[in-house]
Amino acid sequence: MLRMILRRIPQMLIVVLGVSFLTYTIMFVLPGDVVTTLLGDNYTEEAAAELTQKLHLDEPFFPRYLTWLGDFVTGNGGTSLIPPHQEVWSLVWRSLLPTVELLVVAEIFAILIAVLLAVVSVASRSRVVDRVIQAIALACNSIPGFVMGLLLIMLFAVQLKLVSPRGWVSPFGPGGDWGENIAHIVFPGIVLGIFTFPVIMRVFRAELVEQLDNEDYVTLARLKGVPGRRVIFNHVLRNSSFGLLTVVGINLARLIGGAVIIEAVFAIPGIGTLIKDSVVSHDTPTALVTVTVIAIFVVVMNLVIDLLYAVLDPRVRDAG
Amino acid sequence: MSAVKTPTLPTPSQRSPRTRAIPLRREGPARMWWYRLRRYRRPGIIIPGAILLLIVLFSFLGPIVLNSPKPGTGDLSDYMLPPGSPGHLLGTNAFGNDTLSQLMYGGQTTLIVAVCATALGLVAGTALGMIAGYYQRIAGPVIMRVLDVIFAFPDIILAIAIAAYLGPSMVNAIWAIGFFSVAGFGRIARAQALRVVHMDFVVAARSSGSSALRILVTHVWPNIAGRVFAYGLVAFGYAMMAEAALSYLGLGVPLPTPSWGNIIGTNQAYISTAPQLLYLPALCMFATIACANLFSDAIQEKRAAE
Repeated sequence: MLRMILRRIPQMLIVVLGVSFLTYTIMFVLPGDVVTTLLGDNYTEEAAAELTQKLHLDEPFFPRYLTWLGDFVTGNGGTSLIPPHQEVWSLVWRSLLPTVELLVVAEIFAILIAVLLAVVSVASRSRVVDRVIQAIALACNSIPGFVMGLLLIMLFAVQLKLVSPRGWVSPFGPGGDWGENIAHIVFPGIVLGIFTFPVIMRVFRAELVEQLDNEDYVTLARLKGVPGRRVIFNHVLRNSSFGLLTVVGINLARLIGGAVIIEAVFAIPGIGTLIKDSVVSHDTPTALVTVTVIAIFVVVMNLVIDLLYAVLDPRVRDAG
Repeated sequence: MSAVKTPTLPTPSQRSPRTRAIPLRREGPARMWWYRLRRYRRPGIIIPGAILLLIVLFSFLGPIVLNSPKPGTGDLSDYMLPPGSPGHLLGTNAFGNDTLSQLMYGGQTTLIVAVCATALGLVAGTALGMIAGYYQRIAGPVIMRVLDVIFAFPDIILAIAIAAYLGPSMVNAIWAIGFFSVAGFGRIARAQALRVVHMDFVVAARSSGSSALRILVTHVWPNIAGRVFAYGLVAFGYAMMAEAALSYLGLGVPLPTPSWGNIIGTNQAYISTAPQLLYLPALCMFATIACANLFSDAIQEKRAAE
């Protein structure tokens, strides 16, 4: 287990460094005068020279990246280029909660619905049910996330008035409380979950079928006289849940990508919105830190999932 | 020239220019292709294929056949006409542009962007993947680590970054979407190449002194092409969704050029007053992506059955 972690850490570092370097390169090669933007009306020759020095803008390509990296590691993310020039880390910190809530709700919903539909389609043994479920998955996989969001808003918020089209109520602001906060994030979370569940369902269903057809313990259970449904619920489901973990990990990048869009649709002030706004307004310090934070998050989550896998499945643990 | 049919083929020694000219029934390349294609004559393949073809015809020939107004040339006095208005079958948007014409021209944009981006990813990704599968010592792991970086990363964020810095335009959208589709093709191509490179014919080619390039192009590629193209259809669906998402965020194809994505994005405010402005392009997009997925599934199923 420890060996597995130690072996994975260099790989993780490479991915994180790669992503930050890529973002840095894009930022470096593109035009845009940071100094003029930051100084605005206070622009003088001396102030400009001083700021250039302070932001290391006079350094060449690689040393500047290393300077940035050193600052990043020591917790100095710089300040946003957009007035009121806040600390980047505080911006990221504030945007984290909505995105994490959104992702958690979406992931829970996606897993629930994926497992439910996969089990129904396998356990029903009916070709029609199977086909219908496949069609639902295909449909959800073929609609872009924001279209799904808009259509569901149209249906549930505008026509039926069941939910609020507002995606975010701060639990800290005036008049906000956690109950309201959770109530508002559930709908966007479900939309994101609907957008992401088909991949999970497809893999999980294949895993169920694979286990049912090929594993000896299924044959044994059948020979013992365990009824069909119970074979699935008591034996196959538990063994297939390992596969579920992997696909959840693979799906994570897609989920975060979807979160950017869903945040835009529901006007949720999360990480996705921060990244989009910072990139659009050429606010490079913010973009760089946010993108790197997401890369770290993805990589760490993948490690956690692999470790969980090892904890749950002795075959993997011993191999690692 | 006589129309006599010889019961047996002439032996090589008898073969002269004259006997060769006897019109035996010859199989031209067109007929060969017809025979090959005919194997795919099953509803699961033909129906989605036909719908895809219809969508392409609708987008590219529709404006010519129906003599539609060019996008962005609407009359402001005709704004927000409901569907069924005279001269505007599906109504108009807030700028008086004809919705049907917007849909057709938008389809052109969306399809061109998705096809070009997928082609870009296919060429670059397959080349990298095949190289990674062939050189398993150094180049392979290096390439795969680089692709892992791209793959582990939320694609749309990278596309947003690229598109935002390059500035929103159709060509830049193609670059941005093409860039992140490279990783998917790279993985598929490598996995397939790994399957092929140890087969006898590759070993034989290598031992007879064929260059790596020749082996990859003439021996490996034909054996992995089917799978790569099947994934290409799925990637085409992803590319369309990415184009739509970018356009929706205002980073894809800029107005006045319509695309299915930016039609939805710009008409978001009319969600309750003129919902057809949203659900018509959404329907077009849905039909295209779903048919591409179904088509890919059916072809793979058919190939697996053979």
